Amino acid sequence: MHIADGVLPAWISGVGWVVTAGGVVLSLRRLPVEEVPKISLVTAAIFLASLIHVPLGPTSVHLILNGLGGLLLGPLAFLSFFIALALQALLFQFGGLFSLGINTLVMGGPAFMVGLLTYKGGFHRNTILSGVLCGGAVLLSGLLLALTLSLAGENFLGVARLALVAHLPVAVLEGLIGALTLKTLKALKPSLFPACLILILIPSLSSAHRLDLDLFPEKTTIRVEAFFPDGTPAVGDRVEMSYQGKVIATCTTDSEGVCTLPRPNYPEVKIVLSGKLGHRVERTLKLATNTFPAQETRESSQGPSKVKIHKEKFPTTEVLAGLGFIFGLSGFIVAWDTRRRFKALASSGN
Amino acid sequence: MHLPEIDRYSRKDGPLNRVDPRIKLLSLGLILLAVNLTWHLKVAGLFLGVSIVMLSVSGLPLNFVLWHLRAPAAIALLIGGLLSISSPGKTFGSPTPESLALGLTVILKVLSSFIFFLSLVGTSPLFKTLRAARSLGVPEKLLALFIFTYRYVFVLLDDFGTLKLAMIARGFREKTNFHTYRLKARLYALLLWRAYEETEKVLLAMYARGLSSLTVQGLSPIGKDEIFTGIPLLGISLLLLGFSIFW
Repeated sequence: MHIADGVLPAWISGVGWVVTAGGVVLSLRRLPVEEVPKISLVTAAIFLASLIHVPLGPTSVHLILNGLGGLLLGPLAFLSFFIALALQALLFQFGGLFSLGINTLVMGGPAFMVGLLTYKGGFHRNTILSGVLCGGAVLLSGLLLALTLSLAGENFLGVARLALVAHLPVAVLEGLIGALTLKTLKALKPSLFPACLILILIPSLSSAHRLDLDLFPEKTTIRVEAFFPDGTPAVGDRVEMSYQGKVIATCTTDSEGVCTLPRPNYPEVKIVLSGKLGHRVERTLKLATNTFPAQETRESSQGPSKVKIHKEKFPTTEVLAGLGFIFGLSGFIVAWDTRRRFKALASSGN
Repeated sequence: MHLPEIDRYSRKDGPLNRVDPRIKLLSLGLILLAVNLTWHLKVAGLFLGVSIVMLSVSGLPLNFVLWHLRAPAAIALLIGGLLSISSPGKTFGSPTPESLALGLTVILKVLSSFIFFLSLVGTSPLFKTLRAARSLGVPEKLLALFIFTYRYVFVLLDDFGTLKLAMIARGFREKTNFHTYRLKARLYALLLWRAYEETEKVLLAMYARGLSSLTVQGLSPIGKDEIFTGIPLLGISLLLLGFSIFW
């Protein structure tokens, strides 16, 4: 069930937007450009599939498919559901723009959790477990919806309970259909599933496509190290150094992703790494100030560095700080709203 | 299955069609904020009145509007109806004046939100609206994802039509039984499998065209004429926001 614009208090929709925007930005940062068509196509398929009605007794329901989305797309399912819900709001007026954030949290949040479990635990291999996850994702959506509605005020408690109860038969049905869908997908093309469908569709998590570059200026040379975020060196890629648009030196990275350029007498140079499949990284290096981070100069003085050091770590501190900010903001808004309500209550009592 | 095109009447030459989509998006944001902030029945009624006036100015055909309002109206009536018979402490009981007012307020708010949305988004071509969103700072990759998905929905719809026709031609009738659910699951699986196969072709085609980045261009810088045309709409939006906050 989508929450329409105008149903919830503005602060709940606002918090929903803040959290969703954070999730979307994080997902976008992990999504390489080459994967955009793939994610879009599966999002379109999930969007269409969710519009297909399934008979249930005297009525019919349409499935949410957030569990299936999580199993297929991994944690990127959150982004996928944001797009799918925006399309539903635009084409069918299900939900709305102002409540898009909270609707994405309600439906995309469980999809993200299933995706994370799938990615970490490989639960897609077991059909029954997949079905349980599909059903569980719908139940969780129902719980989140009920929680959101109950936050809107005491008058909404009845609607919240009804919304939760309405999700129960859908959860059972979705568990069954989700498991059968995965079973059929495996039977259709075993080589495709999960090796291709799962792993190819979540390449952003392997982070193998985004090319990066480190520069270590030394006395007479500039050492260039090209690598992918998982630490793999970028081999045989061309590096160009230019000053005011004019190329002054070039080199090609070796088997360790390293090459050396002569250090010019210019205050600032632009270094461009042109990788395969259209990858391109640009860096501007200021040579006049000579303010290089201590770690980089130490690395360079110790001779060739290992490409392993480039492997990106999970940004635990940033994630915790972000969550802290979100919870803090939510707490502030809830406290403000409670105070406002108390004031209103006190003034009505007088 | 029929997929509606929200911008079917966006090429008409009406007063709202002439307003720059950036101003429309900004105004829509302000108006939706105003509608969501208010919980007064009178203000909600005023918003519905203003939204109907805006809809008539937009010149969108009535049958198009009614078709799009089916879902929000059903949701509004359902939630509003349930709220009308809810009271604090009880799940559902007899309606009180307060609960009736709350239910009616929600119905008016939901309807006015959608009428405002339709009047402003339905009077600009969708891709122009997306370019306006880019100009307003929405990430390029997100818009590219949205555009691709929008396009593929229509492509996959053809596939889905063929699959559904094949099922009907084989005498499939929907019932509440395991056979129906199994066939529905196969339909989903086929749809996903075909989508996956399509991705390979699309990606190869994109590489062949030299894929290196996805660009969604924003609109050209806003001119004085466009600002002048958009001022009344922006003014109305601010006025509604003021009403919502200070009433």
